Amino acid sequence: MLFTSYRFLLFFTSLFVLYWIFGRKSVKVQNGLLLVFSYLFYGIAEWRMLPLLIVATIVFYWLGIKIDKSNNIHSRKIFTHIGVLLGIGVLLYFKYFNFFIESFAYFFDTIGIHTNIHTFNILMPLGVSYFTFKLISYVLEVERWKMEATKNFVDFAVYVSFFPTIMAGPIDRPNKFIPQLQSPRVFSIESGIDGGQQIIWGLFKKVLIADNLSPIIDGVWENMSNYSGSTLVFALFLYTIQMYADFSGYSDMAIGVSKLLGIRIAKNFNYPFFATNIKEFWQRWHISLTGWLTDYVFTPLHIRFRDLGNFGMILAIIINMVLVGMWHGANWTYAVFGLYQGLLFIPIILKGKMHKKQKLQTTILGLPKFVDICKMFGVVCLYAIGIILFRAENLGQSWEMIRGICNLSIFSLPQILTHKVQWLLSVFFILVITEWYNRDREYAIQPLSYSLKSIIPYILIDYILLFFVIFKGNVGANSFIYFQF
Amino acid sequence: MWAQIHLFIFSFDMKRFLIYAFIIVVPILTGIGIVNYVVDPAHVLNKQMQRFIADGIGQGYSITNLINQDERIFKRNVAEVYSKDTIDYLILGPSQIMTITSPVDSITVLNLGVSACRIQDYLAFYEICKEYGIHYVNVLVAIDPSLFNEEFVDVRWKSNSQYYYRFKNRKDEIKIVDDFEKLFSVSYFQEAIKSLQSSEPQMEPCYTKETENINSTYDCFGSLTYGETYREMAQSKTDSLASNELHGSFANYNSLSMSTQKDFELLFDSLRITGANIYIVESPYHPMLYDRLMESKGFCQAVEYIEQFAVTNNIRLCGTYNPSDAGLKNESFYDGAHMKKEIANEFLFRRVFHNNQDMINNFESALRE
Repeated sequence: MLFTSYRFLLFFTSLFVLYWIFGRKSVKVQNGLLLVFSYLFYGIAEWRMLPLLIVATIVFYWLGIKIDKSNNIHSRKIFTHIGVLLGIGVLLYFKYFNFFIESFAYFFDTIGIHTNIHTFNILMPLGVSYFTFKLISYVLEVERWKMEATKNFVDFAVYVSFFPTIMAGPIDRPNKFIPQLQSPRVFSIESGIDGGQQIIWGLFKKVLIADNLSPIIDGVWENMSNYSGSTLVFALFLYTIQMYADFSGYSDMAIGVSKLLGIRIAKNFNYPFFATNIKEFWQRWHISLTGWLTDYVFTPLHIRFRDLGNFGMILAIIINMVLVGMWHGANWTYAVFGLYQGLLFIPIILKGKMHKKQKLQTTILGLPKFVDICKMFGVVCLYAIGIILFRAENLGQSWEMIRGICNLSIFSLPQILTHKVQWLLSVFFILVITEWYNRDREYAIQPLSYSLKSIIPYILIDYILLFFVIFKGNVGANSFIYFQF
Repeated sequence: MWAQIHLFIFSFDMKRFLIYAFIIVVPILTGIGIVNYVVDPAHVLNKQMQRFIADGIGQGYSITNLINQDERIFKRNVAEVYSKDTIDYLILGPSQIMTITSPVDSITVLNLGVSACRIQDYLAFYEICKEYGIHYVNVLVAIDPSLFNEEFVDVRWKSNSQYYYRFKNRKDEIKIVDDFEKLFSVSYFQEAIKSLQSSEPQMEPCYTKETENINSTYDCFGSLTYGETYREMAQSKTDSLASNELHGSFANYNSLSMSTQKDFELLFDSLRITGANIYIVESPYHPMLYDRLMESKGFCQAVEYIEQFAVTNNIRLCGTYNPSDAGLKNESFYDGAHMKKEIANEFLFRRVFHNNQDMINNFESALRE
């Protein structure tokens, strides 16, 4: 059930009405409804994996209490390790098992040993990468005394299965999410309109930009030998735009839906195209994942390697970024993508700019300075190069893409520079400008005040955005890119 | 409870929020609904047009100018015409076999093939035949290997969703959601606007005795004859279509959908109960497309699965996806997946039954008569 479908509208409206009619003053009713609807949402998408989600929730709930009740550090650590290993185990089994088997078989074949290993038809549970990270995060936070284990099973189950985020994040932290479930949510006009606006903004990015670009880019990737080098390069940039519009659009809709239920969830994007170096880019792109890995992987590794100076930090970053890549899927392309991104951090570390925050200065018109624009464009270029690995089905296809780019046809005009693409680029340009001028807000069209007078212009903006969505959007059943991870 | 509802609606913040939501949602939905209902470019909501088409088919006419017509509803109307009849060959499957027609008058064919046929379509048409009391002696089930690709989402099957849900014993409430989706469909709205903007005069569906016309034409068996542009396409264009046609139904095809396999087995279990002779048909691809399909993991897995399924379940397998096995060349195709009409018919009725002497005898004797 996609956020962009009428079925979701019906599903959500039912919950919204029940939630605010019968749950206005009762935490139990509100959380109970959230849990029922979350399981319903997950069950509609993949009912066969619902038992796994429920069992995992029960086990981690029990582990949380065990960790909390343990009086000595040793037993706390043991239960935490069990939790972490279980979480990683679920992820490895469902997401990476066949990958390892295929890799071993390939390795043995290359050294001349024929293996007769078969892969298994393992069904990957939807959202497994997201809910396992939530579960691991929970036991770690409890173990580190950052929060108490919740005694309320329903609260914990809602945290794990919360329907706006279970399919593609953001990956919420338990110490931010669970406390919100412990008191009744009160509807406010601010969160209502704020949520509504954010949903419309997400819908606009997803349906108008991402979904319109999708068939154009798919066409190039599926038939890359038919296209010039310049077209392939151009397609990389378009795919970067599509990824941003798709994933940030999804995140905006998830956050907006949560706000309508009175719940604040983690932010996932913070205008990544305004980053002036790759470190900043990753602090602004898929924040909930990079933040998670920073806290639980990079920081402990950095502390462990601190005696090694810059080399230690480089090592920690590279391991961290390879994991960021591998998180996306069981494919060497993702590992090499992560490695590539990690290597881009080296100049920043060597210059000692890793912990420095750069404040952007603006011109009289409020635009960024030319040097900063060049830097921003440079970061996008570096990221787009990495996209070759991210999008390719295997390393061979990446190599084919690189070979397709590196020839004289790179100096020709891109073949896919059609009117439609030009129009979409213009829309994207307007979007970037809007985001730039409103970059201090959570999303570009967030109202500053919610009085009747100040809301009217936003309603007009909504009409304009929805007009484009309805008349120009690609409204076929397009799934979200990040659902596959 | 009323007090609760009263509080919900009339609390200060909620009241203002509902006004905000109402101002945004209601005019837009109303606008879409009105345009869709009034323009109705594919005659999905206008039942009179469907009746007109069904009457023509019933009188033995072909129907042309079915531009924008919902193919699935049209095929359902064709099936209705054959209510309580006995058909020699019932054909189910994707667009590849939509051109199959009756070779001679004495053989009746009911072609219920539809573009981008998903498993839901097969089950829905099975249910439609059951509902209309259509008996069939032979059933040819053509299968496109992309059928098992979960990554390929196509929702056109929803036009007959009520029959699919009936097959699956699901409640009819879902039909209400489907009707709502049709009336307020944004993609349908876009089609409506396009048809309003079009400067060319609207071509309304009409009856004809000819099968080859400017636009696509369906004969009274439900078989398709492509329009002039497609029939007379240059070979270079055909080859270019074949070499570019991979994306879409075969994109990201790495494994076979479990749920589709389950429904697929269910379909054949149900067909077996009817007592009809069941054939699985493999329709060849254009050589250029076939070469590329062989690189797709999902395609190879699907072909293996289909052939294994036929063997295990003792179902006769007709045809091949491989054009060279079928002796076909680039010139035999309209595009990557569709054989020319005469070749498709020749292929099916003469070549695919080469292992089945009874069928050839029946066919030959029918031709002699």
